[in-house]
Amino acid sequence: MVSPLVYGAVKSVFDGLLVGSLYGLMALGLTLIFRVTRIANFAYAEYLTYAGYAAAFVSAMLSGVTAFVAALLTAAFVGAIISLLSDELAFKPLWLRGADSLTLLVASMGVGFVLRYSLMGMAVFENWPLEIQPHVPKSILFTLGGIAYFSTAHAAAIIAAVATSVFMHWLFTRTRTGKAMRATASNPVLARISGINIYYVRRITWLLAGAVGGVAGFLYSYRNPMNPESGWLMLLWIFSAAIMGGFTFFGSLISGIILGLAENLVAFFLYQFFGISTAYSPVIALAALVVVLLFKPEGVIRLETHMLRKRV
Amino acid sequence: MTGNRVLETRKLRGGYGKMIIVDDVDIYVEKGEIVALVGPNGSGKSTLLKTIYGVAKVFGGRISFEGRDVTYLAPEEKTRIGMGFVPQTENVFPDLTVEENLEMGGYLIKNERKLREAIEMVYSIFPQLRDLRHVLAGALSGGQRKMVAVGRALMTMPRLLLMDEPTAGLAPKTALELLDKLVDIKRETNASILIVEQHARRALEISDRGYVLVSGRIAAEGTGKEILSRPDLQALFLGKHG
Repeated sequence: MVSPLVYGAVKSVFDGLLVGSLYGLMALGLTLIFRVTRIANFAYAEYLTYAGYAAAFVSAMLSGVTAFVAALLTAAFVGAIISLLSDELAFKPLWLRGADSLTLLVASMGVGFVLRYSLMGMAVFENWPLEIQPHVPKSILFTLGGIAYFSTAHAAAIIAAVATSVFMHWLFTRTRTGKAMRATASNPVLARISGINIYYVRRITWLLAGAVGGVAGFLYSYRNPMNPESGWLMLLWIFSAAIMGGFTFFGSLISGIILGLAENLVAFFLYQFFGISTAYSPVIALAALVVVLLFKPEGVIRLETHMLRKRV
Repeated sequence: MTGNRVLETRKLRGGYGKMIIVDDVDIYVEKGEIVALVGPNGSGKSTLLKTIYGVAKVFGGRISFEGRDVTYLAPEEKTRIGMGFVPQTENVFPDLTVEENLEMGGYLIKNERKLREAIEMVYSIFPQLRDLRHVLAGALSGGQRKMVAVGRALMTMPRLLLMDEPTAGLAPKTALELLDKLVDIKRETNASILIVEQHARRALEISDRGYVLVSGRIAAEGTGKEILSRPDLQALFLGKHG
């Protein structure tokens, strides 16, 4: 007979992978923006929230697989648009006037406030439900011992996170557009002299990062009900995963999963054996961040390692 | 504006912000020429090149390329129509490999095969780069980086190539080798070249004509030999370096 404890641990692993995949996915978008524009974008979380809401509203009018696909596409679209608008209206004008990274960081907090409280205002004014979830089918794919279950939400999150990080890595290292993004980040004036339209590159960056955030927002609300503050509450995790990942794409994915597993699995064991409430799981996850950075300050995958490995 | 002139400026004024650095500049480059731009430190040679390319601000005057007015064209547009520029500093993408730098130089080349051919052309001019193709440009020595910088600009086979002190910071032997390469470059790409050089004598020796820039204005012009033989100019800048 297998102890329920084992099933409990397995459930924690499943949930940790789900949550961790979402953190990783979110961190991917944040990393993309940071790598290309050097902006630590605190408004990023709001793209998730807007997309989650849009997906919920669109899927409410549909059902079945159609609802799922429509919700996913809507989320990606809304995330992309809100992201691009935030750059066109706030970040780009500031950057063109010579704003440095710190100024843009602070500005991003402001943009975040505007987005978050606009949404909140709309929710209150229009009498939307307190929390929303998309109207899409969810099913349990398999269970273990009646305790651990792996649902479509789990599968979707993991698949999306892995696929997106592979795509981002491929884009950045193998495609002309991705290399143009790296070139623009590396030396914008030389990029223009090489014939690259750096404004086009910038727009693509924001659209892509926003779309990724949008999908993450939808997948989050697929699992948990969402409110206007949901994105904001996850901002810490998103940044932690990105920083821990050394602002690389695979690093974001790995770090997100480490954080998710730390939050769920470690919290489970601490509760089972030491009676520590699972409300402390954020502390555990952040302790994981501190531990990793103590041993590897540059992040789990070091951006510079790519450079040193190729040094002649 | 004469038909045989690849580049011509008329009363060009340029600088940065609100500061005018070069004023009333009339220069031209004829097809097939190498033209040198020399002068003392701080005379505005770099600024003139940057103004022509749109990297610095144009305050007034006219720039034409192959008879076409390009005064206010953006840098990426200038590259698209057949010009090329090798800046003096920050002239490579340090986070990209040598080959990726060249690929970016050839960003506007849509055809994959033509892109590979252009890269091979650069490697034939700078054979050292072939062995360094997967090395990050930021990890290269000064001389190697200069080769990448020039190679990047050559990718689009520009008909007019602007070079800002390509030998700056190089050991004398390397500098001479690079300047000798200009002959190869002209042969491979048929480019007309406008080159700014601190080592005036060397530059004027390989050039067809030259301009002397002093305090942002043209102080003298003529063939390389003419300028080199003028005693009043010798004192000005040819001094110690000889």
